[in-house]
Amino acid sequence: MSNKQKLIYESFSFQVSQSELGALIIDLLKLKPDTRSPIKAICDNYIPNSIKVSKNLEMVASDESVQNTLQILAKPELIMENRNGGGSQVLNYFTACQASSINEDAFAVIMPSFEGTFMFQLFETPWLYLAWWIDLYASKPLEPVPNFMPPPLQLESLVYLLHSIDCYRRCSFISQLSFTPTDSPSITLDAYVETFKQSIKSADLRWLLPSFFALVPNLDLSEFNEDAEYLKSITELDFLLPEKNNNTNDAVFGFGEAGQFMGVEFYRCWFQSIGFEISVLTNNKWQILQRGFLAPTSLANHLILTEANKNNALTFNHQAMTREALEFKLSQIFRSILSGTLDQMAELPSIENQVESSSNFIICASCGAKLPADAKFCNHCGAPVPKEEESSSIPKKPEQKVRKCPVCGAELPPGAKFCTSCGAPVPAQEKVAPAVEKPIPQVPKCPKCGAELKPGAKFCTSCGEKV
Amino acid sequence: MGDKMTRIKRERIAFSDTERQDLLEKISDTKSELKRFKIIYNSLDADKEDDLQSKLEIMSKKLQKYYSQYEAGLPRRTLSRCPFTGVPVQLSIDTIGIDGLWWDYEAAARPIEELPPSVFAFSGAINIKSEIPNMPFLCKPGPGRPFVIPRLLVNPEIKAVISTVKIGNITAWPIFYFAEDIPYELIRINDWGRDYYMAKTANDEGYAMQTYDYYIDYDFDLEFYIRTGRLLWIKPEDDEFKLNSTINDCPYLNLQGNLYPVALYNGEIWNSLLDDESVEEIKQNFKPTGGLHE
Repeated sequence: MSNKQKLIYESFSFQVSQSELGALIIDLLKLKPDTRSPIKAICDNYIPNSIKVSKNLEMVASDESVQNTLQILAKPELIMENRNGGGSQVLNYFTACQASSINEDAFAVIMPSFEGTFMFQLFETPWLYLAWWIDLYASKPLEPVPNFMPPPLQLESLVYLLHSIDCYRRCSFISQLSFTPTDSPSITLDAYVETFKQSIKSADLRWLLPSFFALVPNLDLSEFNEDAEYLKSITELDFLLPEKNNNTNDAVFGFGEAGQFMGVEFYRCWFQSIGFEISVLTNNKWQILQRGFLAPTSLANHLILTEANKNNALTFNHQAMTREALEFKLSQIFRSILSGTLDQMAELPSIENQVESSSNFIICASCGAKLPADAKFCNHCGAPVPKEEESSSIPKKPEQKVRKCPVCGAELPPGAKFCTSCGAPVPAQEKVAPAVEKPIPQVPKCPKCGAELKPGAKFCTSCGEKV
Repeated sequence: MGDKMTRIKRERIAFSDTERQDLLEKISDTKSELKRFKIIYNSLDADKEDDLQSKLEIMSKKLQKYYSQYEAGLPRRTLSRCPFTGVPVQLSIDTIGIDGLWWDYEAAARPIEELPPSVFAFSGAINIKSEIPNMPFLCKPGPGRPFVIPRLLVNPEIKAVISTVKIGNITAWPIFYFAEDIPYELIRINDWGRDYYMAKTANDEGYAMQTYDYYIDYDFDLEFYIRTGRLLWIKPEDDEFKLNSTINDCPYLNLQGNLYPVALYNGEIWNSLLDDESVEEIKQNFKPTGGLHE
């Protein structure tokens, strides 16, 4: 059974049952999936020519978009594995692939669907795929919120913080179940440690920490250090604070500002998360470029990206993002991966010799003083100023007020402390602030392809250009 | 290339206090000498200028050499950390004393160096309590307590980070503004202690620009910005420069100090040329938080 229809995001989609998929790929399209292909396992379990091919399937196989989709999935050069699930959703997964040798821009997606079928989608550009992905998983918070887990975070710190967020909900549930309402829930250290051990083994997607472990593909936990030293991050970042239980006088952890804020946030308005891993084929070797985890709530899109520090140790970058910020970040990652420059993202471009030369003031290359555009020597350090054609690296300023001596009225060079005409001391220049006006917004169009853009769009959904 | 440059910068040894003082004196002496020469040079007839031209150039080269030595000898210090990337921000800055040429408002001697691309702007404040050195240049290191500029933080892409650094025995507070998604159309702020800023366009072209933010545009109510996620802070003397996001134990709240940017010149402190009445009038007509509090 197969079905073909146009969906939103102008993606092409079709659905094929697992029993027919082998026949479609192997018997009809004669494809031989690569080792990392997401359709490899399906094909391996299929015995060629073992089923009778229906006319409907033959018609599907003749469709150019179907062929394109399956060709990309059979010989991928970029793979984005996705796993999602949560309190209101079971574990699900899907894979997106790109193969520039087959189709330079298109992204093909395969995901298990209901009743043993597979859903396929073909997006004309990576940006259409990304827009679809973001619409599926990101929330639309009204305004930015504080990032209580600022980067960089070590794995140990991150997991203890995630568990602290879960602990708030756990404490709230216990309080409810025992009919003991409290404004300041607390947890003992023993209970914190014990529930932590249970949590990391549970794979229970209703909790944040197990979701993180279960959904981020291939997360290497071999270097996880259970040393209690790492627990200090939960107090340093104001998640849990040591205090005494009012009734028993036992030492417990109460929840700090950050712990309460995020605890309530994840208790009340978090429903699912998605983990992903992006890898690319370079010189016949698969290289993992990015792993991440997105937990959207109604207050923020919590994006956690894995990074490597200068010692090549795993670190994590958590951001509490608005939708616009998330769109920008993910499009930046995609752009870097597609242009093959992700591993150079931290490389700093040189500012030297790139400064613009225009207008009425120049900067002394020796001491940094501002000078009149026609200066031959620096008034401060005496350095000669190169002629116009030699000084392309010297920035100039569009406007500069002429100062006059308060005694004799002679024009003064910028920065002069004494009049060069009469020698009178010149008071330090006080500047009056002009109103800073923002540019008037215009009809948003992509600067590259001219396509009209949605309000607030960070990248063109047509060509992917940053706008 | 980036790694190599970073390594060189890290390995660079800063000058000692004595070396720095010696260099500053040499620069000061040479500048005075140059000034005298220029007065003579300007008074000469055109046909006699050539005689002094070469001497002037030699002197100028000597001064440039001293400036280069000063810039090369500046300690490179970690001052902040980007809240978006987690990358620490290092800068060559004269932390030995505020009498160094790095602090010359009109001709700050600062090496051109790379900052992380997410650094949008940087400013600062300084707690001047003790006697200030008698430096022969105008120094404007900011007001006497940490502040933020609301017109920048009203943009959701921008976050600020406040930290602490000692300039000699003076406590100072660098205030960095960061953005990953850089709002290129937004006018930035003059670099800390300098009367212009250097930045890059969206096309990666560098430029210099001067802004005129007035102290009435500053906001010292930092709690609001921390609570709304726009401002983070780093504990004084935290070697790891860890970012903090809550107001709990924040040492930058409710500090006392001058609200006006101070100007230091020849051993004297100048606050503002405006009298209190004018300040009140301006305050009533401006919304210092750019509408953020509403």
